[in-house]
Amino acid sequence: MTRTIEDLLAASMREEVAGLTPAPDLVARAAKRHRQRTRIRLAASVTGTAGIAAAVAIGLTVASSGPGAVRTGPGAAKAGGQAARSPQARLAAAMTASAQLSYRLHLVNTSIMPGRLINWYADYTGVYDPRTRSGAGVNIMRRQSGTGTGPSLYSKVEGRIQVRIVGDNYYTRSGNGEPWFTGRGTLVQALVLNGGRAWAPTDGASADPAVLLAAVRRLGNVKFAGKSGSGARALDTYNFRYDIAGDASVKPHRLTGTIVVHDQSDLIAKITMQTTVTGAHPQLADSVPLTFKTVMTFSDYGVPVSVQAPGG
Amino acid sequence: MRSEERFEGLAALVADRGGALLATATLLAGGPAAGEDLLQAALERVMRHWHRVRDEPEIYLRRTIYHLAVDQWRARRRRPEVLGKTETALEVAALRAAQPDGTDAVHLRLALIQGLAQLPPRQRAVLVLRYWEQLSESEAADMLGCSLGTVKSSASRGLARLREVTAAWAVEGTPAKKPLVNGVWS
Repeated sequence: MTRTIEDLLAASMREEVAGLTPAPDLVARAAKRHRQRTRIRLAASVTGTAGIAAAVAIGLTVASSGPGAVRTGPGAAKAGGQAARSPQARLAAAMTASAQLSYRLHLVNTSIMPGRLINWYADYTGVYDPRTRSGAGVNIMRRQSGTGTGPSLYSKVEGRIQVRIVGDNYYTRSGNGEPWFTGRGTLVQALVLNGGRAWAPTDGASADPAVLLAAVRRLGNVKFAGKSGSGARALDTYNFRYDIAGDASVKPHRLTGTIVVHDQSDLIAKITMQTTVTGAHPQLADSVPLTFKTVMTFSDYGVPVSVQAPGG
Repeated sequence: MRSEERFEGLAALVADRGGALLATATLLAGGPAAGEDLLQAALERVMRHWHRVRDEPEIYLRRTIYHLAVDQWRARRRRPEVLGKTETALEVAALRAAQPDGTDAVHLRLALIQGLAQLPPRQRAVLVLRYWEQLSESEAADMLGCSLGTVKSSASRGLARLREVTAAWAVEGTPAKKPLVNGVWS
């Protein structure tokens, strides 16, 4: 009997895979990996890019009382000037000084996955007082709805979230009259976690202010990048890079950024940073690098801040 | 909410169609273990886009299996585990020479499956779609998101390669050729 290669191949395939059945827990394993992957992304966003943001916005109150804190106020900074200190010491002084005053904060956080249509863009404007650990603001979440490459092209507004921070808790709601969601964590958790609806409890440890503060102190490579402006408008710019170790889930990656400090007041004006994380597991279905970019702008130091917990 | 509850219907789909899905994934990935990895990766992808695909999860799951097989498994740059026994061509030839009886068919099947696993991912995917799934060329092109010409050329090259691999057997009723002599099939 004559059989073609096509017939033989079909018959061979049927015989080879006859009786195969998937493991009974296959769906459960996939669901577990799906949850892990979600947590990896969120944890990376909190510890990677937003880590320093949290440290500046929230955690530096701890710095001013911690054993390694630099006790430097705005006046002392002015007397010393940036030239008299190392870049690390200057930034530590600036962060500590900034953490002793209330301020207005504008934070833009962008999550970009090349080639994907679902990229997130968060734009937060609010006030915060580190001394009372309280603040309030509005966070606008946008999702990229086309193939644009910049936040200006992100057209669909997904949500306008009201945010309050009081002590260790944050409160978010989608609008007046809507119920408040209560979470325990930092401002950045409230922002990055999209209102903190689901994952805040599991990722709280990775956003611990003490851990984040240590990261700020360890900014290994800081270089003075130049001065701009003059007089009261003079600004000093520093570039930094910080290597973050990999683990079983995320490959080692590097956080790079720029910190701009008011020359005379020694207060932070702006922090820009970005990092790209990649899954360490090649068999992760989603191994596309994910880039986080964060820009924080500080202004109106000393602005009055009076915030209460909802219903309080 | 538990994930299994959130992805309602997916467990039932795998319970009902899991065997066929795993078979496809096994042929594409080159072995049962790699096939299950591939199927699991596709399930994760389905879960990620569940809100979009929940109405027709099987269609999306099958398509994802093929796309992952062609794109991602290729990126792994890893030789697939080889289905069946793993005799080399020389060993197969020697076996055939020593056992010119009913075991021929077994070894021919093994050689075909081994040859299939060693094809480039797209050629393998096309052959699985055409001769395991019994899809037409246009249906295969639609599944892979490529042109009809790509399917035709991939199938042609894949089959040509399998003919070479199995040249030691009388595939189409001709007498078996002599085994390898100095690296050349006679």
